[in-house]
Amino acid sequence: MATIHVRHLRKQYRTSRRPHDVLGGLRALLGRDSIVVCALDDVSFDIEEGECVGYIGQNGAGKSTTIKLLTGILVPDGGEIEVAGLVPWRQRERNALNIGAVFGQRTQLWWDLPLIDSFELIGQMYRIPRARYRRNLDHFVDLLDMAAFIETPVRQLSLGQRMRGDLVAAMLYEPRILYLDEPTIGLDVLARERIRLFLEEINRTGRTTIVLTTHDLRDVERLCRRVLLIDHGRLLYDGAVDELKKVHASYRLLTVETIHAGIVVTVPGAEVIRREGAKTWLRFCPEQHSVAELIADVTRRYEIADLAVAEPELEAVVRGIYEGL
Amino acid sequence: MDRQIATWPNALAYLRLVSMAARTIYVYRANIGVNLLAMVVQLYLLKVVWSAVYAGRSTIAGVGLDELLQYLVLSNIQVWLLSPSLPAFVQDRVRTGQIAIDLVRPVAFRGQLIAQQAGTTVGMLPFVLLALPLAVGMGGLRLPSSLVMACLYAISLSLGFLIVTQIGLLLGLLAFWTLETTGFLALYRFVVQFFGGALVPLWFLPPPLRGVAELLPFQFQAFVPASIYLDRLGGDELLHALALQVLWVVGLFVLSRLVWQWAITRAVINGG
Repeated sequence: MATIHVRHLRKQYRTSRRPHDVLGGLRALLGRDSIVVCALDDVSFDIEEGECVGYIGQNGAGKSTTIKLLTGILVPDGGEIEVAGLVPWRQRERNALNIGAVFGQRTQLWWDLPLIDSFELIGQMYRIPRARYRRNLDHFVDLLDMAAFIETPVRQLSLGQRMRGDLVAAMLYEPRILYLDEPTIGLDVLARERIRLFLEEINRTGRTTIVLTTHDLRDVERLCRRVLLIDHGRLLYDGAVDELKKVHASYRLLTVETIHAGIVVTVPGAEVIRREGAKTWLRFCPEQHSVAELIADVTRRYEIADLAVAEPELEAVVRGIYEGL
Repeated sequence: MDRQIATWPNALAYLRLVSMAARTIYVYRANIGVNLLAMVVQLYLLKVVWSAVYAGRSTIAGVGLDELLQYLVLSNIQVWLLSPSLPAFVQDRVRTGQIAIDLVRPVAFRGQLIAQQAGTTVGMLPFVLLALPLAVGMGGLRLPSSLVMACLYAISLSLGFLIVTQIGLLLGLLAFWTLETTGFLALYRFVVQFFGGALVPLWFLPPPLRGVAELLPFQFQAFVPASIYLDRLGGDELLHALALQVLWVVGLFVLSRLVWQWAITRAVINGG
């Protein structure tokens, strides 16, 4: 069976509806009206060992709920989940030995104590043999350049440093599966890049299965070949990133920069999407107009300084899908 | 990595949790200091009031002022040392959703919490040693009458610790339903002071109130261990008290287990 096996998964939340008037609070004391919100509705997928899958969707789509169900901290209302042969919510503590989790909005590090203390605790919680613990710690500290702040109390770390600490905490015991919930949220370009490199490395060398939830689709584009797209608790797309682009954004982008500014570039068969100075951005459909023809046409008619053809970014593709919903 | 299936509790992990919680206390030493000061002031006020009550009398209800002051020193230090840290801790983690982190650990949640409370208490011990000379200067405190009594006192106090821990845990778990436990905690503090016997020893309570106090577990945080220390409980009474403590520990342990299982199946983990 697949490492992660999910069938017809369903999760509902009950929230209270309270009238916003003076007596609302009083009535709420006596008993409340509750409404049921469906967070996940009939979601099924399989993830194989060693895959790195992007799990994307808008805020409130059900991403975090899925991660919580996979880690066993929520009990589903219907359907099946199996992670490495275990049912997470029934065997939560055993499941915990197989998984690592990084929640970008929280930290598993001990706030008031030096970073190294949290690592030592994890070493003991997961019963990592001492030699292995040392080896992994040295390797990760080196890889993420953490030697300078490993003795610093966690509350004094920058967000980027803390996130590196959290990644190491989740990987020290070499879990089979790593769940990443917004691991690059709020990080600067350099910190984000460092974390991407780290994830690439562990996915390549360790055969760790990675499920990555993020709003930064550049993370997905960089790390994942497969993507799950969820909206309002339903799975909209499950497949290759390339395929998603091909289906939902069959166009290409053409950027033309002329030698002299102020020239209005138009290309038959391509739509202008933006102009700025000597640069023009256009999009076209490669099935109707070949790239070679378009380029030949442009270079014949204008004095070109620079010219580039690109695939749309995943971000633009997904935005297009959301807008079409 | 090969996983050994954990069939025995992970003692090393629990020990480390205890030591980390103890060291965290030290980070907040200023706060603990202020807390301790409040306890010493309360002790001083109790001394003034009770001395006035005793004016001209050598004993009340068979208890001399000397012994009463010793009792107050002991019971107030006990209540302070065993004050539950878990309600605030659990509430905070439930409200913010940080509990998600505790639940993806391969160590039982209630075990983590007991270790947390143990660490807090261990971390506060050095502060007690700091305050002890002051307290003793106010009320005087003799050593236990024998080594056996000292041991029985230690056992009773340890059982008291377990009772407080379970009560604190239950108060914290209320946060799953109410999100806020400070009200319950304030109630608990009052009840411990009064029905636990830290303000007025249970000897002095009128029979109906004393009956209520003896039905409640709060006497085990203050009154019962202090009475054992002062040789006020002997023979059958003492064994009876210890047995009752064990029963309370077991009962509360089972209850907190049930409440926890109920809480976790209906849990909402807050935050994205």
